Amino acid sequence: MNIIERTINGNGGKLELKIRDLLEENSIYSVLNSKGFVEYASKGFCTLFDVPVTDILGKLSPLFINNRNKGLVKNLSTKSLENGYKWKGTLKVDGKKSRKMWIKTTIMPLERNYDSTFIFLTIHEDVTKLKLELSDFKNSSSMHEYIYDSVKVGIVIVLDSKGIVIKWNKGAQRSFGYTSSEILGEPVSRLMGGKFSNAEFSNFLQHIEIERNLQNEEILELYCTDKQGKEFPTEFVISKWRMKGADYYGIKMLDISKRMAIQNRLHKKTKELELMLYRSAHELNAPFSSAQGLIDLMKIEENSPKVKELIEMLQRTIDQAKVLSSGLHKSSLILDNMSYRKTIDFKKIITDVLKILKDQKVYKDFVFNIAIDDSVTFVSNPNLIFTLFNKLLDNAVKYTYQASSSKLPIIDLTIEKREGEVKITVCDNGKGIRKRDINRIFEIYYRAKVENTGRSNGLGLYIVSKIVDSLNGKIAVESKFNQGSCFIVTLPHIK
Amino acid sequence: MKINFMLIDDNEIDLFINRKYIEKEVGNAEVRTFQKAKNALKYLQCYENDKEDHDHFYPDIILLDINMPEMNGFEFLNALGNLRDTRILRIKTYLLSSSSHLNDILDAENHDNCEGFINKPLTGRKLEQILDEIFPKPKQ
Repeated sequence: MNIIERTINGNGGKLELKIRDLLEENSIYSVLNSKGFVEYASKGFCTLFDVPVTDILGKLSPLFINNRNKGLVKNLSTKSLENGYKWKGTLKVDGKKSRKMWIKTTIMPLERNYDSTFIFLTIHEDVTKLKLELSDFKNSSSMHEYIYDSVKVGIVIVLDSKGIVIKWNKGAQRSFGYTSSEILGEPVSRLMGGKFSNAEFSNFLQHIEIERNLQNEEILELYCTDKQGKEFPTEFVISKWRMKGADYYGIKMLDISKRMAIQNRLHKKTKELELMLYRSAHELNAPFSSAQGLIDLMKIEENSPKVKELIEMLQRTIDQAKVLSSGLHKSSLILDNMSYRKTIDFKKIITDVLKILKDQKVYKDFVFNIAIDDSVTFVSNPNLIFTLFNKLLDNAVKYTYQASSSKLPIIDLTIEKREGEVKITVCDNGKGIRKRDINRIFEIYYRAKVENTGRSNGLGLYIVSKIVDSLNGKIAVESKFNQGSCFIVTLPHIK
Repeated sequence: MKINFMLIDDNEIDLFINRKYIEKEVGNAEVRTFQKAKNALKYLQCYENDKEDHDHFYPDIILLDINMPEMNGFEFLNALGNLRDTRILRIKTYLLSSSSHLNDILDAENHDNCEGFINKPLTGRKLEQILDEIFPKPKQ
């Protein structure tokens, strides 16, 4: 006696009945004769077809109703199934309310002892749901395939994990000029231009990743090479996916030659205009400054009161002209400086500035305290900002005392967020500025007379004020002689 | 002490103004003017070639205009940097321009052969500052 039998019998046959009932309900099977007529059907079978058992006994099995699966019925009667022992397959049948059903079916012939005829046990599993999902999938993937193939404007290229082209669309074919057979199986680097032409795929991916991080942009601009070896600019997106344990890359591109050509032309025209403005401003400035030089000389000479009056009038005229030309000049400066802007990474700029400054011996003993508010985001011209910090720190260092045991030169730099602007403060504990000098330190070529300072050319702070000016900012200075100075620069956000 | 000036500017009037200020500020000065940077360079190259046909004028200070046709101030500075004669290495060169374009100022300041940048027109005060820088007064 095995365990199941013992268990069943030990329960006085009741459990045995219960198990049989459960099997009846939950399994789908039937017994057919060689004509396909039902001799027995399980409850599960009747439920599947939604018919009472009495309606189907002795009748053609619902598996074969509506002329379905006629071949199989033939198999039963021609005894071909008897010789094949077992039939396995999925039958398409009409179920409830004529809805199509897919039934996974096993048919086993069983020989009847008393008349040596065969009956057939049919065991079923309803796989309709699975089948429908699968066909859904097939439909949508063939639709994708169709879209993918038919798009003529965009370039779509699929690569395997090693960067070999395994698929491409009509748009790609059109842009690159290769036929599919020429390019499928080839490394994608054959299609790339510029620095990526014939590059290792791993290098290519690495560069793309760096570019993407640098520009904080999914869409990159990239040059490709067509069959004729001509390079063209594209907008480029790459994606990666994993399927059945392998990596694939999808590249989507758009040829932007036309757009780039227009952009370049616009850029060139703008540059030309800016240059013209700058040149005219400069050309105007030159004769005015010559005239000013002559007037200066005339003033020094002995003059009659009448001539003095005339010189004054000439001076006023020249002053007006200078206001005009300097306005023109300034606007051309701003154009020039503002044309390139990006988000300023203060930390990096200051690190770079200090690196340059520290290469010089004098900076060795300095203590730099740097506090940058991380929430500051500021868009400006990075070169100007770099020069600004360079000159501010250089100036702070220049006017400090030599390091001694009692006093270390300290420079504090803070960058704070303010409403609509950024505030930059550079303080030193150095020699400070005398009252008589403080209003003149931003003048070009002005050098305060301070002892033991190295070579100064009177330009550093002038450049600082010029940059602050061109960024529409403000600069202020607070200083106590012999105690130190603070330079406070506020720069507004660009609207 | 005699101070020798070499003035290079394509504008005659500016040369005149600069010469006048030098004569006023510096008691003992000799001034040579050049309207073309190329000619000034040729003159200086004579030391290098050790030709004896020049007249032994060695400038202490060069005031050099930036914007000139043919050879501009920066081109002149670069060419000057290639000359190795000690008498040339001693020369203090200042760039002059009526423009105060930031890039010009930065370029002038960063140039090895250039002492500084002067915004035109030259004045007595600006000249005085240059002289103070080159010939510091002894401390009292």
